[in-house]
Amino acid sequence: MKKVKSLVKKILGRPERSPLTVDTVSQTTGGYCVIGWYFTDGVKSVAIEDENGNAVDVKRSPIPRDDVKAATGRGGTGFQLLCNTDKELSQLKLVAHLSNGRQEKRSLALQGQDPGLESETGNVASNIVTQTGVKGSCEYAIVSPNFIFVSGWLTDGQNATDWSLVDGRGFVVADVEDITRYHRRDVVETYGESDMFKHTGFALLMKVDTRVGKNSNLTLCATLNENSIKLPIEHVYAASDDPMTNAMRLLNNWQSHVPKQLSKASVFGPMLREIYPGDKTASVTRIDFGQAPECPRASMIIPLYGRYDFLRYQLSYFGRRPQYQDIEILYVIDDPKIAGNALKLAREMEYVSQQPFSLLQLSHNVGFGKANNIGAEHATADTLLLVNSDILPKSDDWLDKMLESVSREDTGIVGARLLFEDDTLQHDGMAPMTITEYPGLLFNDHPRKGWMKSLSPFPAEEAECELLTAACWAVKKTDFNAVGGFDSAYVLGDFEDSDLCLKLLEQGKKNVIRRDAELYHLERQSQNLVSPGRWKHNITILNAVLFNERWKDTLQSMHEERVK
Amino acid sequence: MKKVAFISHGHPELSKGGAEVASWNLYTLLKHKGFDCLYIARTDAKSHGGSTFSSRGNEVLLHTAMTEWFTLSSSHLKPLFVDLAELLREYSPDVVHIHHYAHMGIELFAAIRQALPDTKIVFTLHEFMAMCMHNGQMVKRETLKLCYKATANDCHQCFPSNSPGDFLLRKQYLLDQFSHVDEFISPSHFLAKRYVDWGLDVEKMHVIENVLPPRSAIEPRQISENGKRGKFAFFGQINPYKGLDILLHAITLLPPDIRAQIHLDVHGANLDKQPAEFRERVESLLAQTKDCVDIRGPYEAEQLPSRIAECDWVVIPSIWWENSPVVIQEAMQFGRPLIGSNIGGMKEKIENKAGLTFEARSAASLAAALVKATDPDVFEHWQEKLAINHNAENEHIALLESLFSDISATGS
Repeated sequence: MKKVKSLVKKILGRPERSPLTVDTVSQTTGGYCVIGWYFTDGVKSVAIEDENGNAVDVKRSPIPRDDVKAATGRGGTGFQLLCNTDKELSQLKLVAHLSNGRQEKRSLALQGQDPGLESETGNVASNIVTQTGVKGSCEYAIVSPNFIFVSGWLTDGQNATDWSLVDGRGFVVADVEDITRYHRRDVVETYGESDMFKHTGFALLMKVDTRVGKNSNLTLCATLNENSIKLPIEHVYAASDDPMTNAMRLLNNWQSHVPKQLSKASVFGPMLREIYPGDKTASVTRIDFGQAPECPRASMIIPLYGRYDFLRYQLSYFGRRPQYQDIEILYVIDDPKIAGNALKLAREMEYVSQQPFSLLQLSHNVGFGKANNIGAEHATADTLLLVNSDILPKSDDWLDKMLESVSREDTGIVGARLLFEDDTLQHDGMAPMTITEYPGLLFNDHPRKGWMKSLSPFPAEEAECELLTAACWAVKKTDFNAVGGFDSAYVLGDFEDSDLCLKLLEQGKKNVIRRDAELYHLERQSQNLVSPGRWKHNITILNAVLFNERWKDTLQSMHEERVK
Repeated sequence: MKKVAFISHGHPELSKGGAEVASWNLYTLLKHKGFDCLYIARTDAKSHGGSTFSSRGNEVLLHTAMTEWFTLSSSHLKPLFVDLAELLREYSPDVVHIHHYAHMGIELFAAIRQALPDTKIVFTLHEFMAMCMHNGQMVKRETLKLCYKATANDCHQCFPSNSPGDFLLRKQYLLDQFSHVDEFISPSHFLAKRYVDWGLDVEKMHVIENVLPPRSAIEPRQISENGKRGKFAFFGQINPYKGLDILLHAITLLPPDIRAQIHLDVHGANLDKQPAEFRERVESLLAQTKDCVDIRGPYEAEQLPSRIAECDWVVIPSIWWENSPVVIQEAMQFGRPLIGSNIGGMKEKIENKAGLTFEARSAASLAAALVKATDPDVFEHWQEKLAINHNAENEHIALLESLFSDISATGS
């Protein structure tokens, strides 16, 4: 077989490589930076355009790329394109004007991320026309043991009822639990404006009666004016496969910023928790470096996701200072994609730094909360220090101060004053806030973010503070475990820290911030509410909905106190 | 006998950078003064049988490479932490004198500290590489404007693909690695101050000039009774930072009668390797000045005396700060006054000491300085004032002696 393949290759020749290569795409303070190169004889110029095909203003800088010639024998031109734009990366395309007059377009993705899945909608083909002249299509379903999520469109004037799902033999396998209807621009663009084409989109959450697998032959049925409508489902995906792609399928079309759609979070939340089930466990491979302290003063848990180079900086820092020698350091590698590189860097740092540490490699991505929970299971000290990978201490005394505060019986969580690299406030305690686009929900705010410390009304000392970011916590292991650690119902890291803060308050503990303990928190922009891809943003919204359902009264009174 | 191990990022016979030459000169001097010295030079070349070491004459060649230029790191750590460590433990020096970490990795310091906990580590700074990602130039990447301070946000402006936070981490990492150094040497006060402001310990910083091999001054060029001192020379790489374009532009601004009496020899190479815009500008200026400018090309160290003998003045019009360019020391040693930009190391070494300075990057200001320089009285004034600082040798030895006595005092 191998021989046949190589023969075919010989005859056909290797597929010609693209004349354009993108090396890195990164976010800047005002937009994006795209670095790459092209074969000088294959491409005339490169540009960036938006979703409407309009050129985006870019600053171009040439980069000498003698290495391209050395490696390929063809001359290469390197480029750096710097664009200032408010648009999301998924709206931009890199366009190469080729020497042969054609164009090549590329989607762009930040390092370590896959390019966002193209919206499942877009190419509208009606695969049914019922006797009544109604058009529609059912594009996909995501199936799980408890729920099935179904997406499609129907020109029924929103009058269809009695939705159900039947299998190939005609048996009903699921009944509707919740439904939302929404505007499908692509349908209007294809078929024109008319009342029948308003809100043709549907998203259905269905309760499973009989379990079905992926690739099942499923048909969505509904009743319209006493006529039966049957929509065969084009693709059936299993929720347990590739969570991120399924989350994109589930959430990329949800217009959560529209109040009517926001109130339909119940269509999406249950399926999201099927995609990321709380009880799903990851297998852990532990690798120890150096001689671990026998009775550590505290166990520091640091999840790594996406970027692993932070390990270099932190271990260099800790290794240089004696007070970390009796701290157990546990890096939880919550990202199989970086496991190999993280291990390689860890081996290098074992040479460079005298700091003992361990890696806990997880078999798959479980998200921030669970990664910390797994770290806590491996911690041998009675006190946990939860530290983000993009944290670097500023003052050496933060450790003693936080450990001193957390040692008090009545204290639950101890947080710290966190700073950006320009010494302005990143976190000085959190508080609930409203966001106009999401009425009725309270989010976690970082008041006075970006302020100079000297402008903070709070002195650099210990103070009670209800909500603290888990970017840097000290907490007793018994307290952490008493409330079950971070709640995995919050998917991929949002609100689980404030949730745990409130649970400890409920237990009668008080949370405090040490504003005299300073650390840098080089907060990644991808963690912000405005992040590339609507799906990621919508996960945050679904987490917010859950958080608010649980703590509505507490949050409301905290918020009233704040705005008073 | 006290032992000193030198580590350089290149062997000066293979790579002629300022740092390699400076370390070599100090090594040669100390050997001459009776110190037991070992010179270890990093090389790119493949070694026999994949060994970490080979030799060139009496010097050790270390075969390794740097892999990560953002953090100036190497992932080839066995050559440093195992192989170099073993060799150094065997040689057991009292002082390790490091003249660069580039091409080996900033982890070099930790490797030596772990191998030799009681040995003193001395590190000579030669440029701003740790402070400035832009090849240590402290010049903005796009605009080539002078940079006065490396802040995380400004560095991000030059290198947008790295966030401001990344630059904070980079700095912290480099400071961590520098913490293994006992004493820093800077050949100029200017560079020393920049590094102290950036975060190095002022107590550990020593300003000591690079040493040169002993060579005597060359008599001034013979001129006729009414002759002018109009023979200028430029020594160095032809690249945007060395400012040859400013010098050529200045020549185009000279009054015709002066221009008829001057001549510039350019002793340098690599114009063909420069960015197109710069190359075209220099080529155009050369075409406009071919009546009085010759491109003489690169030169070997042995050719320097004869080439410098031909000129009256050495011009150093760099648009970046420079540290202590060896060409300044050499010009002074050979008895030739200088005309230099009034910034950084050039200002420090030339102003009121060795010749004329001009407003950096200003062709008009340089043209005025050239006119002034042609006056034989001006030449004579500065030529007579030149005095090479022989203290540098003594200061280097005094620092070593003080480190040796520290070591004896602590009983190691």
